[in-house]
Amino acid sequence: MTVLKVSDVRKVYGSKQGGSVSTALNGVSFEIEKGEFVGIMGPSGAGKSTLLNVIATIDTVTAGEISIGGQDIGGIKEPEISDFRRSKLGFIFQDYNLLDTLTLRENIALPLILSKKNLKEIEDTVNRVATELGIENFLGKYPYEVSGGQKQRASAARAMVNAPELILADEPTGALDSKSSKDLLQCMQRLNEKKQATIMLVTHDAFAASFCKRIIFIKDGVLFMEIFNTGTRKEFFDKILKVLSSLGGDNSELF
Amino acid sequence: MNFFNLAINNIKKKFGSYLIYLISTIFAVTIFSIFCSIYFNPQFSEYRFGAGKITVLFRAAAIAIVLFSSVFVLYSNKFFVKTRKKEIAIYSLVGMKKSQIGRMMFYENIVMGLIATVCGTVLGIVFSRFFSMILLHLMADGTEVSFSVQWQAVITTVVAFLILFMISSLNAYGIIYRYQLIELLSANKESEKLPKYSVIGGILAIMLIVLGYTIAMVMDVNEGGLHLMIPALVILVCIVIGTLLLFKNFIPMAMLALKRNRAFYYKTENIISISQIVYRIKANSKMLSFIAITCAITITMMSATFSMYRALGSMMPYYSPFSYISKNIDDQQFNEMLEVIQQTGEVKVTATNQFEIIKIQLQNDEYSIETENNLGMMVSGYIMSQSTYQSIIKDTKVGTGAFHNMKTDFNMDLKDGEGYFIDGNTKKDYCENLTGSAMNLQFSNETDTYTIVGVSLHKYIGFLDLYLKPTMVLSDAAYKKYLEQAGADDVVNFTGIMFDNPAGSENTVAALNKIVPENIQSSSTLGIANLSYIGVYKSIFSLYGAYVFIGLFIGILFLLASGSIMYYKQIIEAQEEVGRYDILKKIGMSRDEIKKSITKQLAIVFGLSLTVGLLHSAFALLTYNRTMDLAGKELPTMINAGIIVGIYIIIYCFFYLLSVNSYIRIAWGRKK
Repeated sequence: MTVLKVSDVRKVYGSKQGGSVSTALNGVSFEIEKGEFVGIMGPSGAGKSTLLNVIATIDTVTAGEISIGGQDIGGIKEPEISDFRRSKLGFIFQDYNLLDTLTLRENIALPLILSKKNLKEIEDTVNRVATELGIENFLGKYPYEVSGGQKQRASAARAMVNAPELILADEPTGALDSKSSKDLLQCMQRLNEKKQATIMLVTHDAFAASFCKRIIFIKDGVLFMEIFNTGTRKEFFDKILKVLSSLGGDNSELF
Repeated sequence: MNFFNLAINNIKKKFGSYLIYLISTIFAVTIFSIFCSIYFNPQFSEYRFGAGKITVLFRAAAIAIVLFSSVFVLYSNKFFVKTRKKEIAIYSLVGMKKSQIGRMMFYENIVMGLIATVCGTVLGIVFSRFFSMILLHLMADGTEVSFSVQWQAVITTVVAFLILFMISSLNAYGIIYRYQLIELLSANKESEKLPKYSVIGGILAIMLIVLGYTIAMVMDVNEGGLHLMIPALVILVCIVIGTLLLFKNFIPMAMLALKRNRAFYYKTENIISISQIVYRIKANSKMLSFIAITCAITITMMSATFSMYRALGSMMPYYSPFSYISKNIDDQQFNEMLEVIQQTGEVKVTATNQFEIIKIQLQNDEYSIETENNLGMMVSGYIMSQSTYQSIIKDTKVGTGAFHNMKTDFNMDLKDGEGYFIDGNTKKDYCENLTGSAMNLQFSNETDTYTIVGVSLHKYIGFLDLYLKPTMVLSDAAYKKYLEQAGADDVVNFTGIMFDNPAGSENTVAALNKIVPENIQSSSTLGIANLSYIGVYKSIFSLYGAYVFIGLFIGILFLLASGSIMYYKQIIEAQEEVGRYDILKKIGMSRDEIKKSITKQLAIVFGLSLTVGLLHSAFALLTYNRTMDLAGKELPTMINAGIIVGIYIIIYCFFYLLSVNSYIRIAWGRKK
């Protein structure tokens, strides 16, 4: 089953005001199937963030079509877009994006509360998801009281608590040390394998990307290459590095 | 480009964000300027009735307004500077020297201050005419206000605010020196930890407030002014500290309890609003207490003055039951008076009453005048015949009622040896049990005893001669006996005249006072020999009118200022919350849900301080009502207070809606 279908998406900035025009996405097409763990890589300015934003319904495309779970997202208007976001999508951000006025438990419960689930269901689901991510002992704490890794796992828990069609992760390891990064990525890998969660991970860190099953490289707004993880993670890691050097990006930023 | 130009450019480019600050400072200057214009207007300072008192009142009010304006301007400035911390940090990062940044901030603030001073002063001059007219109207004086610019007022306003803006500009100048760069950069990220509350503080808050209320309810308000000072101070301290602790500890505690009720808390519109209030309320506790106490003061002050003012009209018969009354007038003067009234043509005479009473000494074992508290004392008073009293009741249209200064229950036919006692005291404490007891009348060394068959507090000739002097009404036969023995000095003659429209008798009374100069005899308590409705009316209204005006004026100032402080605070918070609402948007909170959540959050914040303020003012007004024993029981202070509270809530709600609107606009941002 196809969860995400991106067909010939273009995004041009600045044309309306008549100023300088810049093309962020210039005809990108790909599909993500249910249960996939896909990485999106590319040098700075390749259009990664733009792609994520248009898929996340935060931004709109100039041309082309994106459908999630078979539904064309271009046709959804406010206020349905909010419903759509909270039922179909889960977000994990580099800077966690947890609300510091809420405990981890409340942060994770938020999408369920917004969906007006009953109290018992909310509490059961939050406890189950938190246990899966190994943060069940920190649920009563506020974000400022826990480590970055724990925050990011709470963020991941929030992203998947609603069992969304697609989880979008934007550089989730960007602010984490290597140990926490590894823990988080292993968590995501486990979720993907055991729960069949569909994850799209945007990153420029080859280590993080090596946890994916497939990686799509984009450069200058177009799809550049696609590679699959067929062997061990180490082999896949080396493969990624080769592609990156052929992309001609500045490799120093990758390590 | 020098730094003055940079400062000017800053103001030009971001005029919108400066506008709120400008508006509130202009407002403060305008209010002050209006007040100064009235204060320095010779028409008011030389007002003929109770001029001394008005000046004192206005001076006290001026001090209050100066203090309040200063707090308001400095507070606004603090907020204004806070919103610019990040910008200052960026200037510093790109290499601007501290002294340059300081100078830029100083110029900016002083320019804004100058604009505010000029605009405010001009607006003040324009509006002062309008406010002067209101004041004169309240003071029941029909004369036109001559409109002239009071230079003294302008200079005072300008100097006061230049000093104030100089202080705030120096504060802005110093900000770059007081903070580390990192603090400036994360200016909006202060207080990110969940505040701690003290349970003892919460309990103490409730105890202090209850204690304050209890003292207010049980204290003896009939004691003299100085005796009231101590309980009043205790109440004030209890309530102020209690309110502070309430917002600091009790309300956060209550909110946390709400949070524990998950079935309630886990609702879209509750979770965000309540968690944010819990987070913020302690840091905001000082402001919220300030708003609550200001609200209490405003409502109490406005209700008290407003209800007193409304009460004055119905109090008139207490001061002057006759439209015009004079003492010891001969027949020739009386005819002359009638002629003058007709000539003036302003009002018609509906009744005249010439009567006399006789000075006498009274003694009763249970009676004393209220200032002496010496039971059985000999009291100077009067006797009056039954028919005279009946004619006065008829002419002045006295209502029926017991123990009342403006009513009487006299309807009996007195027999020999019986008397009806009219107390000169203002309260019924000494006369209420006198019926049936013996009253000794001592007249030219002879003492006769009469049985009291009825009592009243009726002030049948108002202020004239009756203060603390009781009167015995005797049967016509008994009275005649005394009249025959009385010498010329013992008898006091009165001439009372009723007009059809006493409130419009100004010119008539002025003409009458020429025939009967006000100072011909100064035997009465007030030192006047004649008393007119309009005279009393004007002297009372000129004093209380000024009182009401100041009450309303300061009330409006307090209300608008607290409203804009709340508004400010919400805007600042909204700017700090933008990130949070961004996250919520991404999680999938819709605009309507965010709107609902914000509406609820602000409703709680605005509602809390209003509720606490209203509660305080309810108790203050109940106590006030008890002090007004003459008027309070009769007059619906609470209805008048209700009107004031209604108006207050409407204006307060306006600020609430304004805040909600701006908050949503900032939190949701541009439509995406």
